[in-house]
Amino acid sequence: MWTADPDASPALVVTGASRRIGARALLADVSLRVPPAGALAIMGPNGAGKSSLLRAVVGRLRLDAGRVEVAGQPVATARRVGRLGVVPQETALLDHLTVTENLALAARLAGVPARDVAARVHDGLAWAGLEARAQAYVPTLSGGMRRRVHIVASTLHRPTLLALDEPTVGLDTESRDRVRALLRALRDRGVALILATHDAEEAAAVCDDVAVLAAGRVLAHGAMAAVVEAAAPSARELRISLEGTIGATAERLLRDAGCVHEAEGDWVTTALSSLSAVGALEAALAPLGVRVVDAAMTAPGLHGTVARLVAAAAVERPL
Amino acid sequence: MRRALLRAHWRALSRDRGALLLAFLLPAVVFLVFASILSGTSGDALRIRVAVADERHDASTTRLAQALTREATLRVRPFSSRDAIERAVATGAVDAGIVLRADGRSLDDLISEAPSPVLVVTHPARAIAGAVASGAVQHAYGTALPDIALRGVVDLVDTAVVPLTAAQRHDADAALRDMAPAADAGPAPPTAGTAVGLAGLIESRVAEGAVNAQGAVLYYAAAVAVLFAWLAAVPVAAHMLAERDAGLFDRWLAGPLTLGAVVDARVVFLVGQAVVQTGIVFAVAGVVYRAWWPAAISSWVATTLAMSLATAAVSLLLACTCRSQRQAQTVSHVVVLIAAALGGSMVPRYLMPPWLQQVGWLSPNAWAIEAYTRGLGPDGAIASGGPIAALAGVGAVSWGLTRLIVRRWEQL
Repeated sequence: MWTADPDASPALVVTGASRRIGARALLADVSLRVPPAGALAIMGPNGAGKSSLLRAVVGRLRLDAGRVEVAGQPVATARRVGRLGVVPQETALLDHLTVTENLALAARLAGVPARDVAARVHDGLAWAGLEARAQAYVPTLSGGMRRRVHIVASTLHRPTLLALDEPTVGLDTESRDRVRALLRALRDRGVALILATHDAEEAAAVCDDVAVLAAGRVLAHGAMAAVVEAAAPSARELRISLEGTIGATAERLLRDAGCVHEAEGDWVTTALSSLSAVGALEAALAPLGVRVVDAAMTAPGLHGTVARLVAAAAVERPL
Repeated sequence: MRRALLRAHWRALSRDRGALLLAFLLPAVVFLVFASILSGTSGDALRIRVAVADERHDASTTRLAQALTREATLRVRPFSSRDAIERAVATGAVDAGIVLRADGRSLDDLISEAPSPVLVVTHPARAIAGAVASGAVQHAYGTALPDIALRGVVDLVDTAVVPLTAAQRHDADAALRDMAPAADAGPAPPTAGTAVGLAGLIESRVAEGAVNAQGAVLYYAAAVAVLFAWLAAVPVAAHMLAERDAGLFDRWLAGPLTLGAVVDARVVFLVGQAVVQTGIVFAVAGVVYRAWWPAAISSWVATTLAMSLATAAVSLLLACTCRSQRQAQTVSHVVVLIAAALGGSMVPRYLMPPWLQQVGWLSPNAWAIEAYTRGLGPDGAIASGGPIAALAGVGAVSWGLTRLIVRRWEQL
């Protein structure tokens, strides 16, 4: 059992990070902080700047302004001394190597001394429950197993901060739960996480804090509950499930009613104060071939909060 | 449904420029190269490089030397001595040599026991060139010097068959004198004249110091080794793009590793792979054809290292300028096949038309084959120094450029 080096410095401090390419801002004055062993979810729509932020965090995006520090060190130094780990969205493993060989290679390239590699690989396999597949070739593994090998490969050098990009995308429920359990176990070992995701459930399961990004700007950053509370003007939100093709007119009606799109067919709003208020909206949508099939009052969730923040930012300042 | 699938296949092909090149342009290019070599349809017939030395400097040899310069199958370079010709043939500076001997019979002497008047110096790796040179000598002798040839016949009849009377001898001399200026007037048409009195005209032998007997084996060992060094390097180089796209570089670059180190490791691996591969090819040549060149081992090692570096680094450079693994493989195969066709890995370069031989110098295959065939000859490493330096230079520059290009992948 290992734990990350105890260190009073925050695991990550991003201060005023900005980068433009032409007229497009990849990052606009982004400032964030992840405490030691903390976990920050980066959320936002596609193109919001989540991947750019992760690239900046690991030193692979040149900044026009601002700085990134990992465990109190400039990111370049942190890379050199093995403070950083990255779990890319693709399962970055070599098909022609076995699980053990993949892990040994990852460990050596991350700077683990040759004499320690075998023990680290053994520990990693045991930790992730993969001992039985140690000699298996990657293509013979299930998607969930590959993802676990992938995470182990990124942590064999015992980083202080691990940056993850959509770590459970494409996995079934059981595999997702196992990967999330691994990520929580990493936190227990003192590893801080910064995790880009579209999945509010995943963010809530793994992280304490959230940062919502749109067009390279941070719209909200803080403890998850505080961000949700600050963004929701009422303690309840109305969730409507719709059926039928939502054309431009129907979409305008929904947005005028203060609704934001959350998922396929699902819209949420805090602007309608009761279920009875749905009646007028239902009557307006019916001639357009859109039927309300379900409506429920719920406590505001992270997903709806993100959608609302992004929608509000788009109105305020077109993205 | 089938039509939809057909359309999808066509779109995939039409939007992949590399695949289009491979499917439609490359076959035509390779055809043109082979057609130029094998049928002379380019309008520039086979012309081998021949060194000619006139040691005798009499009227007949002067006329023959001049006639040789007009032979359509030869590109004549005048040399001053037999030794110089031997060296030039042995090192591959020329394809064959023709010596008009001082120590041989005169061209009109078909009787005496002295050596043949013409010596054709050949190289085992270019046996066809020796045959072409001999044929050109016979053609020039028969068509441009018929008076000399017939004089030999007249003397032979006079001495060995029936003695000529003074009147007959006088008439024959007059006829031969009249024949000479007409024969010297201009280039002989390829089919004009009849070669007469050719018995014993030419002696042919392998150049002093030329790689013995297995020269042709050496050529093809070199040609095959360089071709397969390319073919083995291309997929390994292109796989670098698959590793990048699979996110491996993202993970690796979070630590102390740089992509320069990734490139270096790949170059060293590919060089090692090509050295072993080439060693196997030459070992098979040694076992099966008993072709050994132990004295030239240092030259072989230098050539193999330089060739391996060039094929590895150029393959990596090509790969890292492409967008995807698939594109890199397609583009590299186009380049490799053209380099092989032009550089002599498929057909010996000396059989190519002169313009194609010049174009062939753009191909590292040509430098590698030249380095091997020269390096295992008499002057060894010195003779092969130029091609080796060219290979090593291209390899080093390509390696450096590859490192520069991949550095841009490290940070956006």
